[in-house]
Amino acid sequence: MKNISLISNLRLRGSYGVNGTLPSSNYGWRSLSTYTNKYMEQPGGAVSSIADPLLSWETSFTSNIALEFGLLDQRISGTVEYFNRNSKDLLQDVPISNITGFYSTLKNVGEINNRGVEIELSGDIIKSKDLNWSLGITASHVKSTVTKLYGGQDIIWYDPTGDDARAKFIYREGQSTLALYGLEWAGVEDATGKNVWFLNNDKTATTTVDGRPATYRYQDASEVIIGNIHPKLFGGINTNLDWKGLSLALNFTYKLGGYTYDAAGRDVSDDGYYWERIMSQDQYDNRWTPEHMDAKLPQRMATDMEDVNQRSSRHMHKADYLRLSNVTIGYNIPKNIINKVKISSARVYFNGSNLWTLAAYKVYDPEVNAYGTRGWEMPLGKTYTFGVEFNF
Amino acid sequence: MKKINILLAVLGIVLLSSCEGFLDVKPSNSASSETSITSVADAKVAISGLMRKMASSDYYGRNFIMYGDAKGGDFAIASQGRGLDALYVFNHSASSNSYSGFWSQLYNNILQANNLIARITEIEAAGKGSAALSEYKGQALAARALMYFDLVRLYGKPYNMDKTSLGVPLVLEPLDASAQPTRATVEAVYTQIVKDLADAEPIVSKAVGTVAIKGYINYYAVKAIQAKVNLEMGKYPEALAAAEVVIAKTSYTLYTNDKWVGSWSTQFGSESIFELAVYPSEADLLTSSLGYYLLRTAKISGAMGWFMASDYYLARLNQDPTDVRWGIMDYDETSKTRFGSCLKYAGVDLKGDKGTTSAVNIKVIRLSEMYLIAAEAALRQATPDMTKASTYLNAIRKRAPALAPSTPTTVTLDMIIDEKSKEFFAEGLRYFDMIRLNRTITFNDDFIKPAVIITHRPISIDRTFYKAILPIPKSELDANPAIKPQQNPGY
Repeated sequence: MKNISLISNLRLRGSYGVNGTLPSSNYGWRSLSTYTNKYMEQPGGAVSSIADPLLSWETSFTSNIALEFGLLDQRISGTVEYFNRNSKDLLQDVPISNITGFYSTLKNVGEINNRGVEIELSGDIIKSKDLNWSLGITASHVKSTVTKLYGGQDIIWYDPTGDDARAKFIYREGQSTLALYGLEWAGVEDATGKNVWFLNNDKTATTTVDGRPATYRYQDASEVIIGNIHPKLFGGINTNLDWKGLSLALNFTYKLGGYTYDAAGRDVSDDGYYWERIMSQDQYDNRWTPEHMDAKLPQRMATDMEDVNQRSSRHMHKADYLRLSNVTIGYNIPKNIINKVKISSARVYFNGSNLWTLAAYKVYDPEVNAYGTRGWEMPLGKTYTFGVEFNF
Repeated sequence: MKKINILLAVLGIVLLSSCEGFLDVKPSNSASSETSITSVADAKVAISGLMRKMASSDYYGRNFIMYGDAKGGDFAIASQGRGLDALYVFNHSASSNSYSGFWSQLYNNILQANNLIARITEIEAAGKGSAALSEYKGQALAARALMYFDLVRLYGKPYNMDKTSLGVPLVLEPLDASAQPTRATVEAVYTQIVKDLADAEPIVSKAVGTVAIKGYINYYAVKAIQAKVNLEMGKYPEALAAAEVVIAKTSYTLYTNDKWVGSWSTQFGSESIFELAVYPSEADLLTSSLGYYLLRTAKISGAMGWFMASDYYLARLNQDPTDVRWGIMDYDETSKTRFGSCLKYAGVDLKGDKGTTSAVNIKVIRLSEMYLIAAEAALRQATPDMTKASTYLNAIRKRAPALAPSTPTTVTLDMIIDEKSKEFFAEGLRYFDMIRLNRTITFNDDFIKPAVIITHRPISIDRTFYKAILPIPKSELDANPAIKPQQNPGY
């Protein structure tokens, strides 16, 4: 092979593997009785779970292939990786008829496929004795789809976080694995300040929005897939700058595409029925009033039909964001000064995390949990750390 | 060396695989439900668990009692949005305020009863039954009958309105996770209720007031439930006979006028035929308890004043300003002279029946109800027995000493129903009686007008209103496509 001076490193690698994931509950396969129902200070027992004797673990078949390269004597390096993972016997808490006595049971429901591309690129932009500047970017694009459902039927399931069914999802063949399911909100009618919902069924429409049939009563509207939690692109950007003992490091994380679901909205953005409750500033500022008729949220009325409590696209917001997750500024005190006091090295630094965010939806922190939902969790705080490091 | 290693490895595998079930680990804090009931002691543990679940907030612990009063016209609200007010304003839909807790809690309880009945039946079939074991089976059968009685009145039309209409799914044994049951008719449900009570009658304990039976179901509780069910079905002679069995039992006595208020601060009094125990750190709901919800807002820290008596109720009780039942009423948040707040579940001194305001027992069935059921049944049977009707009514009516007692010629159904309203305020009976009697319920909406305008129902309703019964919850419709077309009309 002839040497190409441009390319300093080129490597192709790949792997294939099979692994399993255990069910979340050790005894999901048998029906259990527990003894936590004390009565009159005597022990009380009750059947507490319903069983699926055929419950098995999830099997994942993963394959990936990657190309690593380095250019210009490793001045620029990167990796492009493609992976594909097929999971069989997907484990999911599936809602069952409440008449059985239980809300849900753990079952192997179907098969999903996760595949994507990950690109990593880093380079030393400036490399000299006094000044060094390097930049790195990672970007991932992952597509996650439900390929097969064993029962043939769609499965409706709920976000398990917090145990209060705060978001509704659906598994449907060919759709995303985190497909939000709910009513499609058509916004607020400018003339009246009322909520309007897209019908999505054959019932007679009481109004139209953008040419589509709509209604004022959420009970008449049908639920549909309203959004996909998974983003189109996500990753990080990091950069390091060094000049004569001063160093600056910045770390960004970003997400493009996808949605988040606001589960706390129904508590703090109520449309007036629960007038004795707290109200979010956003809801107060953006509510419809006769002076503000193009508002995005409806009028607050004590006779509200509790429309806000429906799971709908009203609570679904864009998830795009760019966040400065870490800043570190440091200064290595020159050796000629510290050697005089017998210190071998000393460094002063400032570290800040979560100092700056740019987000498509500004009302709550866009970094949400794995299900893309936000509830009453504490938002991430900003931290400022100052420090001195000595080595004797 | 290598050959020895291989030999040791093979030996190891052979020895380990001969340890049968070494990888088969049983949980340490629970048991397999198929084998959890094998003895009388196990059955007692299971029945205790069932009683505890019946005292859950979704059932007799709070919501079922609130349901029976918030909708009956004797309750009024001072503010909207405080919670449970959807019951008063009838703001129900399958996905919002469906009170799905009734559906899911009751079917969970029915599963516990079915499991116990099935296991005991297995033990009896194997020849190892005993009277003690049968007693627990009887308790489970009676509990199941009561729960189906409550379920069918929540979700189905009244028996005397249309018994061929849809009731609730009838489940008599533990179901598989994939089951998709459909609704049985109201008549089929009542037939099962009557059968379960008849099966329970000969095998339950006849003890009254013993340590073993306090807080559980005995023979007289079964008779009392039979009286209620027969009255609902319009079978007046049967209702009268069942009620009279309880009335005749001298161990149960009515509270005298001077003891009536104090009875709310006592556990397992002489009128308690079926009382569910609520102990601290068990079914105790603390500031979410019935007691707290009915206290005037800010009376004590955590009291919310969710409901108070309507003007109609206060007018009825005011027929006699010396009525002993005024003793359990306190002034409400609207004025110091309006006594609409109720202290039944907190006790007059807010110390309940055990020393705390919230851990207070629920008196599910009291002797006074038997007297009034007997009075109504005697009056309404084919050949009315006016003397009985009058005597039984007067036993309760004397709690309003200034009112002239009824006589066999003056006793009317209205007097009996009014007495029931006065006596059982906040005990979950009024709405079900009004629906059974096909009466119009007029709500005291002007009490909160114009602050709150109620749009989800008219000011007066009767049992033809589609929201007189609850919708099947959306979560059930989503998970059980077979029942989806059987949703209650209007929802």
